Amino acid sequence: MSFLRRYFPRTYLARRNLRRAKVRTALAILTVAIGVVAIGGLGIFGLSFEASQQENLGDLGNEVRIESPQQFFSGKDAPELDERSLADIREIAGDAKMTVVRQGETATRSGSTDEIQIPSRAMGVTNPQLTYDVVEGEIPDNWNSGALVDQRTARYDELEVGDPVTVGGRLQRIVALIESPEGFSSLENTGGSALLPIELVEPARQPYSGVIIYAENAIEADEIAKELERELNGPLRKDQDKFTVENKKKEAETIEQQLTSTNRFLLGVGAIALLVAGVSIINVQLMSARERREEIGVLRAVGYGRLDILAIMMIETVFMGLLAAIVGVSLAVGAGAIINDALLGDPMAFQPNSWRYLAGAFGFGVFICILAGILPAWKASRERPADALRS
Amino acid sequence: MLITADSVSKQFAGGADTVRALDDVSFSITAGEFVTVVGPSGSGKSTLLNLLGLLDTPTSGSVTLKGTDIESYSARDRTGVRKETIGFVFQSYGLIPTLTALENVAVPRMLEPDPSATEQRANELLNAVGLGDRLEHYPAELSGGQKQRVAIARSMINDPDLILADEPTGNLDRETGKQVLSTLLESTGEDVTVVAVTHDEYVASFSDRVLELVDGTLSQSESSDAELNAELSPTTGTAQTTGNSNEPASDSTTRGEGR
Repeated sequence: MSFLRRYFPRTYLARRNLRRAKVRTALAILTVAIGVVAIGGLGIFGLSFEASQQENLGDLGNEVRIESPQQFFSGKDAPELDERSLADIREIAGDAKMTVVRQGETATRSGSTDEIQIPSRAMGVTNPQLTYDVVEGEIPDNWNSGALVDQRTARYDELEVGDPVTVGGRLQRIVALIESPEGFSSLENTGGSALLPIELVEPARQPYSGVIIYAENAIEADEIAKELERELNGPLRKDQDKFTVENKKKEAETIEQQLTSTNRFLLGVGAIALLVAGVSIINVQLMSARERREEIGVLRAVGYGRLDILAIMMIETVFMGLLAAIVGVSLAVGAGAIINDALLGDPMAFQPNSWRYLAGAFGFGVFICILAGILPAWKASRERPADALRS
Repeated sequence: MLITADSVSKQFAGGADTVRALDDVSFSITAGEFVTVVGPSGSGKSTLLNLLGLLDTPTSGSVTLKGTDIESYSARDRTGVRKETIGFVFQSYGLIPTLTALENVAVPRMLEPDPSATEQRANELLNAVGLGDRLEHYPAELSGGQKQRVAIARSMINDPDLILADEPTGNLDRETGKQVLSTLLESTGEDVTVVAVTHDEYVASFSDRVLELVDGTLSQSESSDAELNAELSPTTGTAQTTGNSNEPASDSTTRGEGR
């Protein structure tokens, strides 16, 4: 005698019943499994998609930029980014690393007043590694001489690493070529300038043109930005031009929100798939109960109580739910590996929260089956045996 | 008196009109009797059997089983009494197709403790009805007569006091029907009461007494008088036939003889 029949006779009867219409049972299980895959797989997809997006966006959210007003356009007693402001900035930024930028005078070719010399001017920076990507050559650890030239300028003037250039009236050797920064008016845009250690550059109009701070994360960046705003712009008069202090927290939040809503939408689609599967389980069990009407009547006649019938039919749906959830979660893990491979280049790059979606999908799958099983089981158990036997 | 019906009526509300399936039916059955209820289709035989089997309750009148009015039982109690006291043989066998012959016989006791004892008993019963070599066969692998014998074995798994058989030979040819009836009578003990409903008067020739139902009323004079019935001893071997049958009632299948 089997273990089930000896110790769990209702489960034994339920399992036998499921075997009766194998194809129908298998199809019902498949619909639920698809729903489980939808929730689990889409959840994993959402997480991997988010991870890949964050990889692409880089550390957008943790930057804080401080720029002094453009004095050239300003007639309103614009404040300077001077040594004292820089000291304030350093204090507020604390441990966070930063690149300080100083613009030098535009140089002209000797002997000519209208022909612009390339590199057009010197731009003094600190910690260039933080802000610029080196494509050729190397920035020495202790960078106190030597110029950095962006690729576009180098191409224009046919310059290579090791070539001498005259920058800010001094002869310098090119130590590295850097990637041309994106953006037209951003602080770090070289625009034909050569980069030099900041102490080698004579300031043009004001001591510093700006600072880029790299905080630990978006939240810290936001705190630094708020304090800088208070410290730098707070003491200024209302009609004075202000320092520009900006961080990308809003942008980062917007992207985060978009990713979250995309994820929710995907999960919603998955949940609907599972609800549809639940309806198919109701359908299957109602059909099954109807086909078995006489049998259920016989069981009731020979002494099975309503609860026994209810239990047998509920066990059937729990069986289907468990089987579907196991199959579904296995498939979802497989689908997740394919998604990870496509988005992150590594099949096993499951995000830390992936298991939650899998567990949620498993639980929801079983739950939907139990929920769907209640009505048919209830109906079957409530039928009077005399009526059931008459069928 | 094992079971008594007193002025029992049963009505079914069917749309606009009410169907009176049983109309003022009274009779008593003593322990150990084999009673057949005969009558044409729609005469109320199955309704009567449902009432005796505690599957239904009368609209008026009372049915008393072992001295207790069945209406005093709750639905749950009735289920319990059915399990303990009554064995059912259904017209179309009522076997569970997904279970083997042995499991089908064990079904009524499957939820009870000591499954090994149940299985042992089921084994004995199947051997008693001549299906000792068909224990692991599924219903689909059995003939009609074999299925009905499995059903008979199942009706006895709980050692019931009363076996109710609805058209026990309905789906069988005459020869097989005769074997099945013999099996039923041979394998039930002296004190087991059998009430068989049939429209086949041939079955009646096996019985101690015949109740004839026509349009929901008992028409037979001998059955309409409960007191007269009570005087008839089921052990005298005097089979009360309806008189239409050519089959002798006093052969070895008649209760009181042949065992």
